[in-house]
Amino acid sequence: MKMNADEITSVLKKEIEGYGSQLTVAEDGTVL
Amino acid sequence: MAQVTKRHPASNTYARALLEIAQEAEAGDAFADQLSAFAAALGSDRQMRVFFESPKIPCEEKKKVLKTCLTGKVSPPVLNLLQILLDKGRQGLFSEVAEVFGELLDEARGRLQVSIASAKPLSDGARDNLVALLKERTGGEIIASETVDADLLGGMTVRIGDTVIDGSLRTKLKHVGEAMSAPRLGRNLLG
Repeated sequence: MKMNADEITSVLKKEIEGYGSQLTVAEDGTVL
Repeated sequence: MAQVTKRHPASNTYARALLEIAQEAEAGDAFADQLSAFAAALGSDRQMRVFFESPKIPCEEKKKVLKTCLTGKVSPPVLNLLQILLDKGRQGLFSEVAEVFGELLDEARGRLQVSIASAKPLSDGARDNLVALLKERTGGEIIASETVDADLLGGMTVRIGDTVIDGSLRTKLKHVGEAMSAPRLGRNLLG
C-alpha cells in the first residue's frame, strides 16, 4: 500500500475538478 | 535569518496518537511515507489546498473526496486521521502532523533530526566533531541537516526537536547590548 505524492495529486485533482469556481483564488491580496 | 517555526500543540497530539497505532501495527515507515506523500501533494498544488481549507465546501464533501481517492491506497488509520483533522477543522495542520509524525518515529527509533545553522559552511572536520558530540550527549543516531545563515554573524545554532542551542555571535552581541543598557542601580546609588 504505497502511493507517491504525484499519484495522490493526480487522483485528488481529478476528484476536485467539479468544484471549479469555488477553488478560484485571487492572485493578489490578503485574506482577512 | 534562521527561524524556529512554532508548531501547533495539537499536531503533536495527533501525531503521537497515530504513532501508537503505527507501533502496534509495526507500520511506522508506511504511515510516515503515506502522510508525507499526502503533505507533499498538498504542498505542490494550490487548488488542492484551497479545496481542503475553503469554508465554502462542506466538511462532509471534503471527507468524501478523501475517502474516494485514498481508500485502499493509504492505510485506514492514516485516512481516519486525515478525516478527523477535517472534522475538527484542523486541515491547516495536515503537513505539520506529517512532519511531527516523522520526527516522533525517528525519536522512537533513537534517530534524532538535527538542524544546524552556521554563519559559514562547516568544514568536514567541524561537522564530524559536532555530530560525534551530539551523538555522545544524546545517545542517539544523528541525522543532521545544515543551512548557512550569514545573519548569525558567527558561530551556529543547533536545533534538536523543540530544543535550540544558540551559540551564534548575533545572540551573544544582543545579550551584551541588553546588559549594557540595563539599569545599573548599584553604581547610581553610590553616586
